Amino acid sequence: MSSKESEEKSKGSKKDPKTQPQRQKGGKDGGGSAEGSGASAKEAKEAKKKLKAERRAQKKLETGSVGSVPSKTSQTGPVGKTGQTGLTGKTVSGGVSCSESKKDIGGSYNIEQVKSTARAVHLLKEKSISHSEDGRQVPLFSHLHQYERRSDFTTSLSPNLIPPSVVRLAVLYSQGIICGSNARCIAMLGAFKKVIKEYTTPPQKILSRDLEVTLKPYISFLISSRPLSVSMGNAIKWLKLKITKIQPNTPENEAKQELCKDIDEYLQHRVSLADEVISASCCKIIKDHDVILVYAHSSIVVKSLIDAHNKGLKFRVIVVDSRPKLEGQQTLRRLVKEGIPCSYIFFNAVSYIMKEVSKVLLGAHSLLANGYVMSRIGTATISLVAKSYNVPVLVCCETYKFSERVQADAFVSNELGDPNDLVPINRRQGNLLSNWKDLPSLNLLNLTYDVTSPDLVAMVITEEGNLPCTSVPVILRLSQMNIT
Amino acid sequence: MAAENSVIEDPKGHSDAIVAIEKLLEVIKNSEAGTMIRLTEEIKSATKDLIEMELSKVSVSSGCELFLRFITFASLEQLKFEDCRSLLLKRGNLFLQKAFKSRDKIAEIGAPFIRDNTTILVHSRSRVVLRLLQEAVSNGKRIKIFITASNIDNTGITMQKFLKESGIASKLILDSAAGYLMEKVDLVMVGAEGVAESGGIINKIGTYQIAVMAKTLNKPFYVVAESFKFVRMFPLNQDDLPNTEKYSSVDSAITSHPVIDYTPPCYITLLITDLGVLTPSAVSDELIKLYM
Repeated sequence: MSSKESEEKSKGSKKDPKTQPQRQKGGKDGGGSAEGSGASAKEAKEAKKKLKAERRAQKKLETGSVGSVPSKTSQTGPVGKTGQTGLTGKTVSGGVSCSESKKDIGGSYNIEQVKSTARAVHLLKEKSISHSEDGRQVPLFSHLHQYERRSDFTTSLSPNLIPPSVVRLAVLYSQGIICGSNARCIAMLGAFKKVIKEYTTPPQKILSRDLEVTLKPYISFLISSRPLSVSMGNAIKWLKLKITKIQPNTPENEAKQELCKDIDEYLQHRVSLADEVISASCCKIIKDHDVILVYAHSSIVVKSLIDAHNKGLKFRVIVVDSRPKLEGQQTLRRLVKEGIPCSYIFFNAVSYIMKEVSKVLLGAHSLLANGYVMSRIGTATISLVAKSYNVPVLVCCETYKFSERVQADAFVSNELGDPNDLVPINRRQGNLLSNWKDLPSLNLLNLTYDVTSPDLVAMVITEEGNLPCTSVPVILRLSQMNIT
Repeated sequence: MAAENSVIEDPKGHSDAIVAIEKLLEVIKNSEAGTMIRLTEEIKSATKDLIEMELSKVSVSSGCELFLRFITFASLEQLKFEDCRSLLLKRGNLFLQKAFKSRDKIAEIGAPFIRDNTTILVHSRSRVVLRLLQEAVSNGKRIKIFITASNIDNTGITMQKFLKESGIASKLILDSAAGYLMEKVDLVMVGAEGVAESGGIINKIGTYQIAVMAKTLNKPFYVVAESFKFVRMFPLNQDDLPNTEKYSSVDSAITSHPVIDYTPPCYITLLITDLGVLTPSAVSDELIKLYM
C-alpha cells in the first residue's frame, strides 16, 4: 500500500486504476537505474514491455472477454507477461479440453476468469518488484529460499501441465489465504484427491509408477508458490508410498477409489481424530481458575480451549499477538465468540503478564527429531520467558507433523516472509520506511519460524499421549515400524 | 485398615507392588468368572481395593497397571477361556519372577556407581536403595551414609536399623539438616514410589527439596527404582499429584499434610532401574514401548 502511495505522489494521479501497476513499474525501474549499470538497454526493453502491457490491460478492460487473450499473448513476446500467458492459457485450455471436469470446478473458473485480468496486471507489477529485490538479501539468510512476490510461479506453466485445482491451491498458498500447517495439508490432500479422480493412466503405463511421476511437477509447482510445510511433506511421502504399493494388476478405477479412501482416512485419523484426542487431553490438563497464555493462532489450541470451555471449566485466556501477521486477532475473535474471558496483549508485554499465567499452551509447525519445537516466530521467546517465571509450557502437536530432521537453530532452515509486511506502521507522520528499498544500508528480514529447545517445554500433547519433547524419535520409530 | 495393612506388609521385605501383584494372581487363579471381560473387571476391582488399603499407592497402582498390560498384551483370541486363564497365569508368573529379580539386578547395575570412601545421603526408607548399598559394601566399598529421618513417620529410623543389621555405619539427620550436610556428601540416592512419564519421580515428601539442593551444589542425584514403578502420569507441578495419593488415609493425624512430592526430571542425574541406567527422558520411551 505504502509503496503505491509514494509512487502516486511521484508520478501524479491518473484516472484509470488498471494502468497504475505499469506506472509503478516505471517508477521502480527508475530507482533501479540509479543503482545499477547498463540500465539503459534494460530500460528500453522495459519501456517496450510497459507499453504492451498497458495496451493489453486496456484491451482487457474494454472487452472483458477471455477469448481474445490467447491471441493477444501470442502477439506479444514471451518475456514480460509469461506469467499471464501461462495462467490465462491454462484457464482457457482447461476450460476447453477437460469438458468433464468443467462442471466440477466451473464455479471457481468464473471467479478465476474475472480475476485473471486483475491478476495478470498484478503479477506484472510484482515481477518488477522482485527484480529490484534480488540484491536485497540479508547475508546470514541468503541460503534460504528468498521471498519473491511469487510472480513467476505460474510463468513456467505450459497448458495442460498443471490442473486448475492445483493452480488455484498454489495461488491461495502464495497469497496466504490458506495458511497454517493443518489447513495447508488438508487443502493439498483435497486437491490431490481431485487430481487422482481425474487421472487416467496413459496406455502402456502402470498407475503405480505413472501417477507418482504425474504428481511430481504438481508438487514442485506448489513448492514454488510457498515452501512445503512439514505436515505437507509428510503427507506427500505417505501418499507416494501408498501409490507405489498399489498392485500393478489392480483395475484403475478400483485403485483410484482405494487411494481416495486412503486420503480420507489419513485426514480423518491423523488430523481430525488426532485433534479430538489432543483436545480431550488438554481438557484434562486445564484446571479451574487457570490462566492460560496462547500465542498467535493455532487451530488445535483454539479448539482445545473452546472444548474445555464447553465442558464447563472456568479459566481465563491471555492472547499474545505480534506483528506483522496479527494472527492473535483470529484466536481472540473465536474465543470471545464462545464467551471465554480473554485479554489481548502484544508480544512486548509478555514478561509483564507472565506473572499471572499458570500455563502456556502453544501450537507447533513441527516437532524435530532432537526434541526441538518448530513454530511461529516468537514462540521461543515466549517459552523462555515462561521458563524463567516457572510457568509450564505445553505444546499441542499431531504426530503427523513430527519430522526426522534435526535442527538446533532457526538459521539452517527457515522460511522468509515478505519483507514489505514489516514496513507499514501507520503512524500519524506517515510511513517512515515506505522507501526502504532505496536505503542501501537497510535490509529487512521477515522470518516465519523459530525453534524452541526441549528444556523450555514441559510437555508435548499428542494423540499418542502426553510426552516429554525428547520422546519424539521413539514415536517416529514406532510409526515407521507401523508403515513397514 | 491398620490390620489389613499389616497383612500386606511382607515378611520377606518385598515391595508393596509385588505383594499386590501376587494378590492379583490369586484373584485370577480363584476367579469364578466365565469370560475374559468378567475376569478383567475382577482384576480391576481387586486393583482398586488394593490401592485403597496400601500406603504406597503410586507404586501399587503402577505395578498393577503394568501387570495387567503385560498379561493381556498377547493375543487372546481363538482361545478357550480356561486356556486364556492359564496363559494369563503363566505370563503373570513370568512378570512376578522378573519383578522379584529386579532388585538384585538393580543392585548389580548400580553398585559400580558407588566408589570407595563415598559419602551418600539417603532419604527415608527404601528397600531397593538398601539392597544396592549392601551390594556395594559386599564388593568391598567403604561407605558413609547419612539418612534423613523423614519426620512425617520417622521411617529413616527403620532404614538405619536395616543398615545396622547389614553392618553399614550410618548417621540419622533431621530433614531440615540436608542443606547443612550437602557440601559433605558425594552423591544422593533415593528410591521412588513412582516414576512419572516426564522422567520425574514421585516419592516420600522431602525428596524434592533434597534434589533442588543437590542440583545447586552440583551433587549427582540418583534414583533407584524398579521398572514396575513406571506410571502413566505427567504432573506439571505438585498440585497435579492426585489427592488420593497425596494424602495418607491410614493415619488421621497426618491427613492434612501431603506424604509425597514430585521431583521434576531436571533435578535427576540418572535413574538406576532393572532395564538399565536411564536418563529421565528415557523413561517415557520405555513407557511408550509398553503402551503403544
